[in-house]
Amino acid sequence: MTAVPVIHAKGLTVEFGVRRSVLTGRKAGAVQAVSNVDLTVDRGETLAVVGESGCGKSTLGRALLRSVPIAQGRLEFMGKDITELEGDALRAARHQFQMVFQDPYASLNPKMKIFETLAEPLRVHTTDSAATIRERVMDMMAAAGLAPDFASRYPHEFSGGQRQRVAIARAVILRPDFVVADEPLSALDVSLQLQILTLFRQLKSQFSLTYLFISHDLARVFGFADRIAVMYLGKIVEIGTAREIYAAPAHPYTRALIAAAPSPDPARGTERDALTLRGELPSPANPPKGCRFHTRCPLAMPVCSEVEPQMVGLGGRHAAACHLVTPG
Amino acid sequence: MSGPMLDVQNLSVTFQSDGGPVYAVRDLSLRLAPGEVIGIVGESGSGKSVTMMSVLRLLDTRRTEISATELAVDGQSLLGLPARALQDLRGPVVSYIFQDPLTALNPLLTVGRQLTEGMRRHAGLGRAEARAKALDLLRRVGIPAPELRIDQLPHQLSGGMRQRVMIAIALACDPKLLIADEPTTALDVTVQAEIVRLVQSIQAERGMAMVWVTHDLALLARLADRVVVMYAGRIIEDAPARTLYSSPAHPYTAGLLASTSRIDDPFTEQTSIPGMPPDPRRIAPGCSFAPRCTRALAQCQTVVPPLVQQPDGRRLACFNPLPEAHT
Ligand SMILES: Nc1ncnc2c1ncn2[C@@H]1O[C@H](COP(=O)(O)OP(=O)(O)OP(=O)(O)O)[C@@H](O)[C@H]1O
Ligand SMILES: Nc1ncnc2c1ncn2[C@@H]1O[C@H](COP(=O)(O)OP(=O)(O)OP(=O)(O)O)[C@@H](O)[C@H]1O
Ligand code: SF4
Ligand SMILES: [Mg+2]
Ligand SMILES: [Mg+2]
Repeated sequence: MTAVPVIHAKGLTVEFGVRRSVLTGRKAGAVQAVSNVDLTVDRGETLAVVGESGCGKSTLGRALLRSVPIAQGRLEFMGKDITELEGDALRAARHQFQMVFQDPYASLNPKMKIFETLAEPLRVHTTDSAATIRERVMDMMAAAGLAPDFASRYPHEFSGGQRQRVAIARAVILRPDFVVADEPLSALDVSLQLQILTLFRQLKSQFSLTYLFISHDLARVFGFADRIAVMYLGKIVEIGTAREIYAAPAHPYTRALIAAAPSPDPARGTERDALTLRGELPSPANPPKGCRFHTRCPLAMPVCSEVEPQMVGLGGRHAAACHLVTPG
Repeated sequence: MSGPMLDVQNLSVTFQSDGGPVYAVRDLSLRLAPGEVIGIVGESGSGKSVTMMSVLRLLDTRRTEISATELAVDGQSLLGLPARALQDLRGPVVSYIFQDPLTALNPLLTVGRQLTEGMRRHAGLGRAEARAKALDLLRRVGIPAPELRIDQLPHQLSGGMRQRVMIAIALACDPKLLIADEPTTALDVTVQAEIVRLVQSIQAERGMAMVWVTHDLALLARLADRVVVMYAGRIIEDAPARTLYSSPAHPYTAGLLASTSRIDDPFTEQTSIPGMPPDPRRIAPGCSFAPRCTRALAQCQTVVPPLVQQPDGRRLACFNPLPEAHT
């Protein structure tokens, strides 16, 4: 028997700005930020989601935490259908999933001391005594690399890296089953990015966490994630283990993302230029027909603008949606 | 032999803030040859933008102290130059691409108007001539349907397109020196790669000198002839690109390089620099990097290491540099 995955999504679709025409009753002006996505996140794994700005990474993360409305599809959390969960039942489930944001300043209450920031979730979601809460907060601070005397200070007294440590500590203090980290490194300088990644790793093994890790830095996530999902205009176009994707990226978009990432090696070849994408992401309100990537794909064929490619298994956990991909 | 395109000697910039003086740039000297491309790299707050903005006197001077023994562009000293004369240099001699295109573009003027303004003033082009050249430039920077875009306002363009417009404006008067301050930081890597390639081809074709400011060492690898590394308001290493990437000498450069994400080798465990950059209001004696440096000696705590020219062509400010890597 295989273990129950933490997240199992089938046909997940999220729409924004849906208006119904008074005359025809048809939906108008909708953006499908997430479109018919199937996704499984296993217990204890780190799944990275990468893709360009506006492709739907944050919306997917929010949908998995049930913090944006799901238009279509089904979502299971630890084997339980939570697609329709509402009210108190949803609130009760909430403490099992947490989110860490890009901007640690905006996600912390500036008027709360660090101790209060960390104690609050325990007060709301547990019946722990004041003494136990104090102990848990101080333990968590130590685990997050925060000095004990920080407890009585306010967020503005900290640097970006320290604030991100606080935000992570707050997300993890309830021992959630599932943590969505939305670009938690992109506001930080490179020398701090690695420190924070190390913290994510340590907390994961200490508290057996499961992460969905959203990032636009493909090079960074290869070494950190177990699996990687590549999104383009609301769809997952390729998914696989980090090594599968690095060794044999199957989708032309994945290859273009890898080719575009700069490397600190002046001698690294110029052959990558052939794969550089032209132009920018089309509007998600009006996605191209057929393969959504065909307007920018250097390898597009006539069929690509007509027929939408389906996910094809490539052996192992690797799959991609492209007409050029043949089953492995 | 012609003189330097950019000459900055002993530049210091201090801001008066409520929390006391902010030592943003400290005793910085830098020369750039005609046609040379240099990268200035450093973490947030290291003084990259302030350095470049003070060269063109773009800083608000009310609570700012700027001192230098020389600030010259293309042989013309800017020290004490009247504002009017300085204005004449911007465009035909030196142009600036700002970190944030939205604040740098005028939201009320069309793309075409902003593009042609400089050409008409400096080169004395007529309306039709300037418009034709503007359309040409927009096409050149990869803007689709330029006939449509030229009459639009900045907010009608995507971030990537606005940045392209900024580049077109900066190139409009054929500058001899282009200063680009993080022109691609807010953009996706795919768009960034395209813009870098574009600027590179225009640079090569016109032989213009260029300063590219960034916090990303990886980006400069294929772009710069020479890389200048800043830490806490000072230059700590300045070396030909190949030398710097293959054998960084300053422990901070080495640390920065070791923490830069590597698409060519992403699975090797990376080491981070411990600690945090210093607060520019509290400048400790000695080397600013000493509290984070694993190679620090006793004298590093008390004496500021001077930036010294090395036999291998680099400048270096360190008492205990890494030994030359022999590969
Ligand atoms: N609350 C909202 N209302 C309307 N449209 C939205 C909303 N949130 C997101 N969108 C749209 O949905 C699409 C996906 O947005 P999302 O924020 O998920 O992208 P992303 O991949 O996280 O991008 P980024 O890398 O810039 O954070 C975009 O077109 C965005 O404009
Ligand atoms: N107008 C100002 N008043 C006070 N301090 C300032 C001002 N402008 C910049 N500073 C400070 O000067 C220092 C150098 O800033 P600068 O903008 O040059 O950094 P940078 O290297 O360009 O960083 P980034 O990568 O974030 O753009 C910082 O500590 C900054 O806070
Ligand atoms: S399906 Fe066609 S258009 Fe889409 S990525 Fe593959 S080759 Fe390109
Ligand atoms: Mg997002
Ligand atoms: Mg700057």
